[in-house]
Amino acid sequence: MSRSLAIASLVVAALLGVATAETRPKYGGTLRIETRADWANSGNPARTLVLETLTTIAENGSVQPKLATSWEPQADSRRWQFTIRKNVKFHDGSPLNPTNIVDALTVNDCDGCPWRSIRAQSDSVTFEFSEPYPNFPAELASPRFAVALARAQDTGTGPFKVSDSRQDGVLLSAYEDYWQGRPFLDSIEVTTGRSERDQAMDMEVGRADVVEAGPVQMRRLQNQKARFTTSRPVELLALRIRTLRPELEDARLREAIALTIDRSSIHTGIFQGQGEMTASLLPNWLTGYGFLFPPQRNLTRAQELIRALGQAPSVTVSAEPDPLLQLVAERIALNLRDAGVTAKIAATPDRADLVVRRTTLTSGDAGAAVREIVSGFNIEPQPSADSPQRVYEQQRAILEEHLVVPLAFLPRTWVVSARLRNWIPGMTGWLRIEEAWVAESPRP
Amino acid sequence: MISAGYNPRYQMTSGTWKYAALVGWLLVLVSLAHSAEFDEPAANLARTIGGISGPGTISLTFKNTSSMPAQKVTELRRALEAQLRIAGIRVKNAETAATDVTLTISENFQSYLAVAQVAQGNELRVAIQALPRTQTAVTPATSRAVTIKTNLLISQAQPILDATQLKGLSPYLAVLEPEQVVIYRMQASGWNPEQAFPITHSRIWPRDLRGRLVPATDHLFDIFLPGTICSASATSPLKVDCRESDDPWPLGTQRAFYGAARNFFNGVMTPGIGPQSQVEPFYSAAGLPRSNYTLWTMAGVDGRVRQYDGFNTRVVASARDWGSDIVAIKAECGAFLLVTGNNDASMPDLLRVYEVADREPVEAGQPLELAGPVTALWNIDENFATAVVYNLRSNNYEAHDVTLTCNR
Repeated sequence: MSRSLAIASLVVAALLGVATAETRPKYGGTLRIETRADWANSGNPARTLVLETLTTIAENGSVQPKLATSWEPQADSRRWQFTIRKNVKFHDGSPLNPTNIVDALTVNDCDGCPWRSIRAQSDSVTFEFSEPYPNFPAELASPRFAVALARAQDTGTGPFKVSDSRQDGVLLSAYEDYWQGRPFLDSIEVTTGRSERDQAMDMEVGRADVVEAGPVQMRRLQNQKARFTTSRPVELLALRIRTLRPELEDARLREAIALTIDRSSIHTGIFQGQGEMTASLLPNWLTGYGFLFPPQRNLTRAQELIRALGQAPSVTVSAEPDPLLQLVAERIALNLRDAGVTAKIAATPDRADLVVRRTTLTSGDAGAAVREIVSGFNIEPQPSADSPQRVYEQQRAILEEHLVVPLAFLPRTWVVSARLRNWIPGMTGWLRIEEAWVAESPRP
Repeated sequence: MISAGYNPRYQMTSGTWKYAALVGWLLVLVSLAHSAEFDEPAANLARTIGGISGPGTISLTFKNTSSMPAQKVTELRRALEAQLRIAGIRVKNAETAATDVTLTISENFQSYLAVAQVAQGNELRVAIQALPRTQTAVTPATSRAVTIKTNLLISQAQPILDATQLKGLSPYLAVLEPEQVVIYRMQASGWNPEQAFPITHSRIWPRDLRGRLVPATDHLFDIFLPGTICSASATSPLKVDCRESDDPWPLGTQRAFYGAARNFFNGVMTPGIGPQSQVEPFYSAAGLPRSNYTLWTMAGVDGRVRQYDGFNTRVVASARDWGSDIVAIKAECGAFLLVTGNNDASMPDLLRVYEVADREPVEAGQPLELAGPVTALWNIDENFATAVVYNLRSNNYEAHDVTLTCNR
């Protein structure tokens, strides 16, 4: 028996010896989480442990109360009144009330907020809209509308409070007076802005308990029998076509570009078969009608459209700074050349005509998700729709503009250490660490 | 000797004809009742298709890409064709129809969908309609020595901490939720809520909230929650009064002190197990009566299962895969331990039954797979337990009566 095998056998034997019955959660312990996103980024999932929203989306997709206990539409959904939960305190001890919610939601003039006005009443907050907005309660569940004290941006009402901020992350500690009960964990060390490669290394050497993993890291960690938890496909990779030059204002050229893309080769060659190809703004698990947006390439039709333009077009292609997206941009440039388009790779996305970007769904409500994605691609969003038919029609109208070309939906994969228990990934891959706890002994 | 043969032919009398007609009508009614769940969505869809195609003829092609059973697809097809006829649309074959409709049954994470692609010439339009998704029933497991039997009392979206049928008032059910106790009355349509009493408490409930509903002899019931005790009144009208209290909770013949801000018993027992009044902190405890003492089995907070007989403490090494909820239940053939599994809350749980002849637990029946994790397991009395299961499919909390029957 080799030495390493003997040591491994001892470790397994030791684990079996101390393995214990543990179902009910245990209080205490520190968890170490690493994320790609910076702490200030509203898309950083760890922020949801600190800041809460007025509503939340349950696992079955229904809108549920959070900091608001109830809501009602008025004036044909042009006005929404939310009753605010009582006996909730911010981490600094100050009480949650309608005034500080209004302050929180207007702190930066709320650029891109859908409401026309917002006002505080004795126990409620009222939002006014220019047009009917039936799906607004679902939209308020987005982390973009998380409530923080206007005077102290990291002071929220969530189960954990920020007890220390560093350049590379934050230290969170359990909020004893949390209105839904103190979390089980005592503290969480969140290390931010960490590349997936570095996260995988930290997991390997036991420096982290929860890390994100892309397709490349997954393969590496799979060989080490790490514990994975994978969300539904929630990360949309899409091509944003900008109309910076007159040729691209012609919808025929934009349509030709969309028809040229060979998603199948991107899916198998770059994403290693993970996730799903898509020509839809929403994943099929959320809508059920992804087949109405076929993702197949149609080079013949693309060439016809380009011939009709009269001259061979020329575009620049780039991607957000992310190795995976840059590979996708290079593949798209090759696809475009097949159709007779002169495509050059631009070093930075600033002035590129076509930019590959990624955005993550945070809402399990289809109507709110369309709006969230469209906003993420800097396109003026419409009020979010509240029925499958209307959501479909809204998607169809946006896609026919060919300003955003969906490419693929990828799942978010997290690797978790053996001592973490009861961590259930939410529907859109967000952490639900408030329910998690750490075991004294790892699970065998 | 009995020879094999066909059943003799009976001539149908007028009585049997009537009987056959009745059965036929019943079958029609059952079929109509089944398709009723699709009536409203089918009517909406027929209206939308009619709005696109106008009155006349259509061809209708069905595709099922979902997990909807074939029988349900047939019911949906029947319902849609009936609604199309009401809307003045006749379904013909593709050669003679003016409009071609392809109806795809698909699904998302919430519901089934009927997606109609309506083609008229070169124009293609789409109509989408959500369809209800019904749950399938779970069959109970069979067993070896004893069989675990569960009886669903109630299923609801709100968390259930405990539930019990009230003795002496058999058609009543009390359901303990975090903020209220609800009294249900059995009626023809099932349990109907009759009264709800708020649980008043000044402290914030701890996470993984646990609570017990204990039937009483001189009044209806007591409720034990972390740092709070409530009592129902003995006289009509029914009232429930709550007070802050750290009094111990009843656990069979013992009482145990429960942490007001945590999810476990701190180990102080009264009157005590023999001379032992302090044991390791534990989540649950089950007492198996012996001739002159009680053998207590406890799921410790440290993950170990221990046995206490008043003199000795023994760690049960074979209980590594037990969960933290244990009760003792009596059946005709003895007393047994009922134990949850050690899965995470994200996975279905198993209820397992053990016989403890001397000290070593031996599995005494087939485990029962549940639709989700067990969130509470309490004795109602020595013959019954209540198990609360969080159904991972329906996202509902389900309270079940649990009993054991002996296999002969």
